[in-house]
Amino acid sequence: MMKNKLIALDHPSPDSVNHNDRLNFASTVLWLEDQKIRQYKIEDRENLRQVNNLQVWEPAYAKYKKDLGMRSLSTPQAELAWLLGYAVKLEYCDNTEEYNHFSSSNLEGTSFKPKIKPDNFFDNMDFQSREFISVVSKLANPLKVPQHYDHLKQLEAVHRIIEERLSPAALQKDIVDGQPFPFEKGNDVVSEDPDLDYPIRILRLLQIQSLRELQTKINETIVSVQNLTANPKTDTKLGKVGF
Amino acid sequence: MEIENFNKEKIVIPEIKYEYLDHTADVQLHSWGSTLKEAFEQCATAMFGYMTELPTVSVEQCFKIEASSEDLDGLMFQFLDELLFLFSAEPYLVCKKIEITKFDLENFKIECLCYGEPFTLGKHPQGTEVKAITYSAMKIVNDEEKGQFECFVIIDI
Amino acid sequence: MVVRTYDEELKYIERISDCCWRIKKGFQPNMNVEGCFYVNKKLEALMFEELRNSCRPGQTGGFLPGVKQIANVAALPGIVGKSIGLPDIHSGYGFAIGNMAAFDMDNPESVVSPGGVGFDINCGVRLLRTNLFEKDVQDVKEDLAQSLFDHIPVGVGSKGIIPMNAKDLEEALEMGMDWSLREGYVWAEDKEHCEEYGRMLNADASKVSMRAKKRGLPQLGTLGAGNHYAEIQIVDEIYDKRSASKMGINETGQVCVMIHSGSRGLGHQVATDALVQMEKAMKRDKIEVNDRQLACARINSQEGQDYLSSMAAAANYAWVNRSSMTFLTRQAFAKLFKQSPDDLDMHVIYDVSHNIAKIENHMVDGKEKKLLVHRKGSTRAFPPHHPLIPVDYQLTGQPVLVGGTMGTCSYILTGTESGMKETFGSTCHGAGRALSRAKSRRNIDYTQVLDKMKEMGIAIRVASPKLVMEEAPESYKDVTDVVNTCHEAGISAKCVKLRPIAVIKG
Repeated sequence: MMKNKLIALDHPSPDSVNHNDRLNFASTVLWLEDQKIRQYKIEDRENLRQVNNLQVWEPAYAKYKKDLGMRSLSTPQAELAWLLGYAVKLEYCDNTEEYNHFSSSNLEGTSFKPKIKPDNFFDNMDFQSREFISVVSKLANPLKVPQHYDHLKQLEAVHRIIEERLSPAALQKDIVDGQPFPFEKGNDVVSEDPDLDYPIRILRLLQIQSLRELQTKINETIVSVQNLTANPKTDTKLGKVGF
Repeated sequence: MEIENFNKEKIVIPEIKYEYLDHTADVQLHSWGSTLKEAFEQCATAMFGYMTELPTVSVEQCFKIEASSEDLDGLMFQFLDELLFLFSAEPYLVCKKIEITKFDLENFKIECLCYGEPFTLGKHPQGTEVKAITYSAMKIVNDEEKGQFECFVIIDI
Repeated sequence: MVVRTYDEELKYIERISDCCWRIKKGFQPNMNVEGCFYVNKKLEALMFEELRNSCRPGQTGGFLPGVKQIANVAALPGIVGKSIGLPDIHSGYGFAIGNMAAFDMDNPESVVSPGGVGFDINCGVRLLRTNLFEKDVQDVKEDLAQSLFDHIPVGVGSKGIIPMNAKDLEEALEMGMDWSLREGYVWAEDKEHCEEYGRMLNADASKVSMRAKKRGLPQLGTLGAGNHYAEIQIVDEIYDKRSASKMGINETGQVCVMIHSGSRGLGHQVATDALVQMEKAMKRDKIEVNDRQLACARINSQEGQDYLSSMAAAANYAWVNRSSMTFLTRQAFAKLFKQSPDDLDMHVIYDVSHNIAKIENHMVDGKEKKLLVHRKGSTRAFPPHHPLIPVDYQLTGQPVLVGGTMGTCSYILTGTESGMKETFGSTCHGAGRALSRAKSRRNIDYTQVLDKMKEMGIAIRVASPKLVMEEAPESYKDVTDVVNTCHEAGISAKCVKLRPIAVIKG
């Protein structure tokens, strides 16, 4: 996604942008300010230009974030994603007419899609509004869902936890007794590197869980087809067994 | 092919000229006779003797089979394979007596009459199931001068 | 062939670990790769004695000793890795029983050999669990054995009680367990816990001869004879609690049902037909092998492809066969306990094939390769997280079902990562014969065998009681030795031990 935005903004080398490399990060921020955002006048960008001297650059960047009104984000990746989004938004606002041409509402006219009347109040909601974002964040905290730069993803995680643990159906399920098997132990070799081992095991368990859900759906489908086709027969006359 | 008209009274059951030899997973049939034809007939009877107890079998039906191949070992293989098929599918025949009516060693062709009755649970004790005939250690002794005629065949069980 | 003394032969065989031996090139002519075999101290003695006997002058007839057979397989064109002998190895037709060999699919010289699969195509073992315990069945053991015996036709000349016509058979050959599912003989979950999901997709019924089909038609849903059996077993010991619980085995004393059977006359005939075809193909393509019994054809030849399609069809037949017997077993239990099979939790734990050739991807010298893996008397044992094992066993590794022989224990093992590397994910399949049938018959009396079963508290029903000594435990290698060797060598891990309380067989 970030790469797509960089390409859309005509960044000269979208492949080499690396938010983990501070120097690279600082240069990208500077490029965005110089070419796209233009929050400051050219002469006011002096400190932000000191990418080779991070001692000067870092406080300048902190001020810059504040001036842009960026909410507090936990990782450079999230910050960069926000900056890119902001830059794209500015680009769009500069030239709305041209870009609106590509919008899906324009395409709708050409297709036979029926227009859906927004009778659901969600349809009128602005999912990008600050208010919405802050409510998602408030929901996430008590459920211990980690912060994520994309609040919609975060909302998805919130939904999953509520559905699986707090829904009436989930609350009725029997609580599994016994000692949980420590999943970092098992017959399987994962990685020698303990930092990798843990997350890999988590990802694998999630993958197994989704496979299990798929397999269950397949079985349910087979059973529903069986209701139409099955007719097991035995002809015990044929089997003269025993002596 | 079933032969309808045959005289049950005239059927003489030949004496036993076969034995079962030691072998790890399978069984080796060893048969002999005063002619190679007889050794072949005996070898086939030996196979049926492993599937059930032949004295419990009576001669009720007769079927004719044919087998052909490109060499002598192949002929034995095809011959026994035909007989195994006669037992394993319609008419599920267990043979008490095998009579080779045409034994052509130039073109490797056999025609044979098989006397017996369909295998019936309750009447015929269940022996071992023969899965297949094999070429393994197959030996056919055809020595006119010494008058030695013997067959060794391993059947997979 | 070179004639060497026993001591000279031994120079080619070298120990590489406590339970693994290497067979060096030169032991038999033209070996493309080395051989190796897994044995512990006890099994080692049997293995070397067999070789010593064959070195005595005047030995004729019969098969070559297992070690020689492993080495001859190592001389087949296109073989990669090693020709591997598993602990239950004993000599058989061409390939020893308990031999695994893999051939490179990208090498045009590579061959497929029906001898490397065996006559009983897709012979295998299926295990069902129940929620019953030993105390629930102790008093009805005899009735249960009789009920199973009445439901599942056994022994030579028995006919199946599931009606089938020629059209059904054609469909079953192409569809495998999907046919059983469609007709309602099995549960959707059964398919999930089956190797290949109970269906080989490359099956082509038109490649199966009329003769094979005629042999197969009356026999569907029959157990067969020889070493085939159905057993009611009790969980005796659990070695790996976590893996066992994934299989629905939580406590010792739980009742399971094991079914050991294959593709019956149909598979036997498919193998016979293929051997005849391949004899011709070998002459035409000038394929030279050390032993005529190793009849084979290039994988890409017409004969090779025909065999793979007909073998797949026979494999499908075997799954339908085991599925039919699963159905009959569930009926037998349901009638006796007056509960539905569902309420008795009679799920299939797993279904393994131990006579089959399959196309699989493996790492060879650090590169991924497509191989044709022949397993004859050898069970696939894939490690945890392998994409081809069911989702329920992703964490434990594939369950491997190792059937013992009449009256002895059986085991569930699981596949391991090191087995994947060392043996292309293969392990043992059962006890493996030690005595010849004739020797068994001479040395052991059948009434003794039956009495001994009774003494051990095992209910037994046999179609041909006079032949039970051929299958007596004394005729076989000790399955515990076999399984322990696999565990020590790391090619699979012990999970559960089962002991029989009722046996039915041919």
